[in-house]
Amino acid sequence: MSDEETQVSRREFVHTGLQLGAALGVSGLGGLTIVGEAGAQTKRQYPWESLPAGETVPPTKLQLRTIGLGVSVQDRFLREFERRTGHKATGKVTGLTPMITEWLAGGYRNYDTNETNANRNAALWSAKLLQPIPVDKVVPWKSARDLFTNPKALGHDEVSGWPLVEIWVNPKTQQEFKLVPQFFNCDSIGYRYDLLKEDVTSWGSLVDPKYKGKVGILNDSLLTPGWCAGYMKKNNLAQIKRSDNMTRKELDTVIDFLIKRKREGQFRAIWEDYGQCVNMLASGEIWLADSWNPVVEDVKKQGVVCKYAFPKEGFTAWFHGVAVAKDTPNLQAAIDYVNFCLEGWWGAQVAPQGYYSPTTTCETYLKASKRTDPQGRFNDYEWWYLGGENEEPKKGWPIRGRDTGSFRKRWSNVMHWMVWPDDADYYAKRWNDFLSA
Amino acid sequence: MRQTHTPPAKAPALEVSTTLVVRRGVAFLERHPGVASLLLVLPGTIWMMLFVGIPLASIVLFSFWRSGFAGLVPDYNVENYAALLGGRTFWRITFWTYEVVIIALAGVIVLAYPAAYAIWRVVRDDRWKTAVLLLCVVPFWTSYLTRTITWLPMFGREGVVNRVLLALGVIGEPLEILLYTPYSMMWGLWSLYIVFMIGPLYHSMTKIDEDVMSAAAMLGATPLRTFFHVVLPLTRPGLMAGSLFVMVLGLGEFFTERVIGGAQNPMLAGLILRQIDIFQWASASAIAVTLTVLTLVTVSAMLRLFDLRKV
Repeated sequence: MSDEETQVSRREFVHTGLQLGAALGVSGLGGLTIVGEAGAQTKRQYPWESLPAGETVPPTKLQLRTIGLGVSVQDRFLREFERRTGHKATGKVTGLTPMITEWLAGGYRNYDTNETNANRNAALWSAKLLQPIPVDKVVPWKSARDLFTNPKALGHDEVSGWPLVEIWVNPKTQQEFKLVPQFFNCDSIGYRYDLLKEDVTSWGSLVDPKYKGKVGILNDSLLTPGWCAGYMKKNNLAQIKRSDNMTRKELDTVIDFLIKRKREGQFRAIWEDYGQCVNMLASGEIWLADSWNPVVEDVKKQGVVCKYAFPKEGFTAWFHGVAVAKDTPNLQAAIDYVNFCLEGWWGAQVAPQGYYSPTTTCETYLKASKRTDPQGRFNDYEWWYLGGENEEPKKGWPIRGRDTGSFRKRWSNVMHWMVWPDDADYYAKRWNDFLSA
Repeated sequence: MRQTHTPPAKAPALEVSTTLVVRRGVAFLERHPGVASLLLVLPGTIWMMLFVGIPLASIVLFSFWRSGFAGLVPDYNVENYAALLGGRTFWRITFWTYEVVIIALAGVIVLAYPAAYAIWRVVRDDRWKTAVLLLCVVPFWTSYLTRTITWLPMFGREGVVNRVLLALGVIGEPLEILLYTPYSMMWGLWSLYIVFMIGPLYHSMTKIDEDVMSAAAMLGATPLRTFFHVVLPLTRPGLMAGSLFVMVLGLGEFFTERVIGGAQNPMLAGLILRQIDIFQWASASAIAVTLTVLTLVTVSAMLRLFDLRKV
């Protein structure tokens, strides 16, 4: 996405800021005064609020040192945070495992926040390397989606307690965050519609002999057996109680099934990172893969007809969040950063990658832009959250709106959340058996 | 003020005493050569202790601990080794690793001998020799990762090789065997390691006395006979040095298998990464220790075959 695409006009910024302020019902605070290039003065209540283009807040003595994946730790985000708050922001981009390993090995002293997958964050929380964040410090949380506050919400899993159980110190009272949700989504199957010439509607396509030698799967000892278990369970191919957290016997059934398929030559390649999956799908090395939404969006950008499946068994759900280091000397900057990520601008930035924001504040920004729909009928909110529904598909494309439709449609079809299983060691052992088979 | 006048007088005295100390020191070291060599190896030893010894000792220690969800737990046990060595998967991966490395080594030897021989005998002009040797080395100026990834656009379904073969009408459908198979992995490994063999072989060849080659020719040996009976035995040091490089690099290999091998057949080093991916640091350490031991055993067995120190 170019800067041009992401910039909202100065008027929109002011307007959005005012709307947000009003929406949040914040009043009575002194407010901050920022002097812009033109000498105009802007009143804001919080340092993380939107700021007219061209204006910059003078530097403060605080800094923000964050670490996370390339999807959330991006220079353009950090520069905007710096411009709004004056806190010097630096970010380290890494993988999930190195990040957690670095923190556990004492690296947490070098960072103020970490941006991680919820199922891995539990390791840092249980090692007492994080501090709880009081809910009232996260102002945009007043616009949080139901999914992150209500155990009755669409997409909430009663058995695992996800996602609430990984967000809150106490999911019942919801007073303190362990991890403040930053963005979330569901994984499914990416496929080359032009090569398959049909829609994929089940996880079973990945193990269907019809597509022998055309399938790519993710090298992940938890996620891959997870979707396969979900597929086998929902299609009565195996007795599995919880596809997200299997017993040894259940996992054995799933892995043996996968090994059989592997030996028959079902899988063309096992993919390991984001770019690799994009390249494999775009070049036609693989025709379908268990995939991520932004991967599919990136393949589409190369002019290739690629779609994101709506599996009948359901999606696999996850969320990433921001956690704050135990002894950070920059606590205020860390809290400002958490607020900044939920204020709306950030959420609007990641929407075109296919991600959802845990707060509804991004709607204001998305409604003000019309960049995704090829026919220009829908604004970005209508496309990414409501799903768009063009009568005519784009010329040469099978897509009438966003793949898999609206937010509601997607979240009413969750197979399971990606939880950390009780017997992760055994998952690893059996996954190695699969790889070496 | 007085102080400003004193330095000129003191400086020569200092110089004299320094020279004296150095002279006495040198004399002492000449009388005690053992101390001299000890001092010479000291900086290297300290360096190796800090950056190799301590990390290695830590890995050995961790391999006897337990991986908890939130880090390593110093709960001494031999479970990691028992689970590792008692399971079939480990042995399957170990045999596969050796299979890959031995085929890689054999291929590199077959490819490197003619190349080194050609640079030595066929290219006569010294400038051309340097130029050709340089050509062998130039790809190594880019990173190992880049050189591996470069094979993707070469061998892919829409890659250079498939396009050429399709255009020539040799094949009707793109060949899928070229990428994400053990074959593509082997091709990648050969290209990565060949320079480690060409260099030492060429160096050994240049040490062969011209008269020996002339004598073989005069006595009527065919070029092939000369190669097998003269060149091959005399280049054994180069062959052994090159083989050691390939063996050690090959045993630590993981990237080529992941990127162009399709990641469906992990080798031992890749297994370490996969354990770390799910926070199994203790069993990752156990595999690392086992791999180190296997490498040491392999290298010492190779040195037993031919002791490089005797060259």
